[in-house]
Amino acid sequence: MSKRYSSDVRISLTVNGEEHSVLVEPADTLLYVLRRNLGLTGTKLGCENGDCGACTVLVDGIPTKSCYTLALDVADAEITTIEGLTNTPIQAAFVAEYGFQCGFCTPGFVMNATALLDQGGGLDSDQNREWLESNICRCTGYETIERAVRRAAGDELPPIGTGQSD
Amino acid sequence: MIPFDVEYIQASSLEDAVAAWAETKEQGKSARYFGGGTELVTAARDGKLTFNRLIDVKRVPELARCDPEHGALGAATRLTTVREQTALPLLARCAGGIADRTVRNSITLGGNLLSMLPYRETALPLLLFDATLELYGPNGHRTVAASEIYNKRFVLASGELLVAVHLAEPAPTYYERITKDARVDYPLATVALALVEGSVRVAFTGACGYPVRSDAAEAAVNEGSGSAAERAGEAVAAVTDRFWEDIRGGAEYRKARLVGAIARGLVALEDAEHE
Repeated sequence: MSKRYSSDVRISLTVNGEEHSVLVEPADTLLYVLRRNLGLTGTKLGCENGDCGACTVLVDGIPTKSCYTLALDVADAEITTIEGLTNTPIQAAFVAEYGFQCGFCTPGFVMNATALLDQGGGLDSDQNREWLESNICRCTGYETIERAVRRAAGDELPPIGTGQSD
Repeated sequence: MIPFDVEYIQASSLEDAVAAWAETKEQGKSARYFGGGTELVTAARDGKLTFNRLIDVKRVPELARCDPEHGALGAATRLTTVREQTALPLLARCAGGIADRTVRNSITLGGNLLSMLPYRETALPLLLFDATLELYGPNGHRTVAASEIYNKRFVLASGELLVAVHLAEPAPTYYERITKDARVDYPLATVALALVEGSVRVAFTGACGYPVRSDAAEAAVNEGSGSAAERAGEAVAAVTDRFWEDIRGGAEYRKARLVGAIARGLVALEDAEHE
């Protein structure tokens, strides 16, 4: 049976394991609902065009840019945002590897990396590149971010500053 | 977000989707079939597109099915899935060049083939191997050859939906995607070649404002007697479509890059033939 939604739609949205009853418009994106209705501002509004990846969340475990995803489209899915991660290995690895500077892009990178690690990835450079190029960082130059992913995947990296270039 | 009121319908069947479209038209309003949202939501936000109703067709079973082993891909198959299947390697590579991985988790095959953007890279294998397209519209089902409805884009009837693609890749292929700088960018040229029964087929996109398969270019590469580079040059010179100029590259630059890619493709396919 097809479903129709016109305005003021009450939906149940499962975010970080918690069910929320929210009133949305069909035009609302998931990003907008997370930030405005639920106060989950860890998911960032960047380019709002699907390019930068700062708005990345997990929808049933799949990295998804929430800036172009309609909230109604994912009302039956499990949403995970950066607030749903606490003391995970990837978060610790971002700190250990200096995987951020200004930090604006970090939630998006961490969510994308979480999905990559959940799928057993993180040690293959080509695969890391393919996944991480979905997000843009203007500060780090990406190397420390990939190191964070490798570290979280179990790679025993020498500390930064002890590489051949020094 | 979409900066205007819109009605959103999740269609559960082909009949419901097309009925919703017809109803919208009767009301004098506009509807769009909706997949991943990457294009429609961002274009609406940017003021480039308006509509009254979005008819989400991703949950329609015929669009959601995915059986690449038998060459069948529903139009709602995500590009990540297209990229990761191995039965149709050229289609996989064309899909893998589009956008970035996270965006490919959302973009659907049908959305890319019928995109408003000029690139539509997944069209290349469909043109090279003349895929079969399954359509459904107000007049019911129809099945057409891709070439039959291709005129710079796949031209569907009013209210018609792309349901599925049926494709076989029975020949060696070559693929090359050229961007100005970063890999995640629109292409200056994406080139696909296939060697079918001793004859090379050539399709490309990015260099003109739409995907191109050119009989004249194919005649030049197959009937010419020069080197691969010379035949590639003759092939590009034979293309009558206007080459595109934008900030990424001028027409002459795009032509030059296209010639290089076709030449490398000819060499690779000739090598494959002799293996």
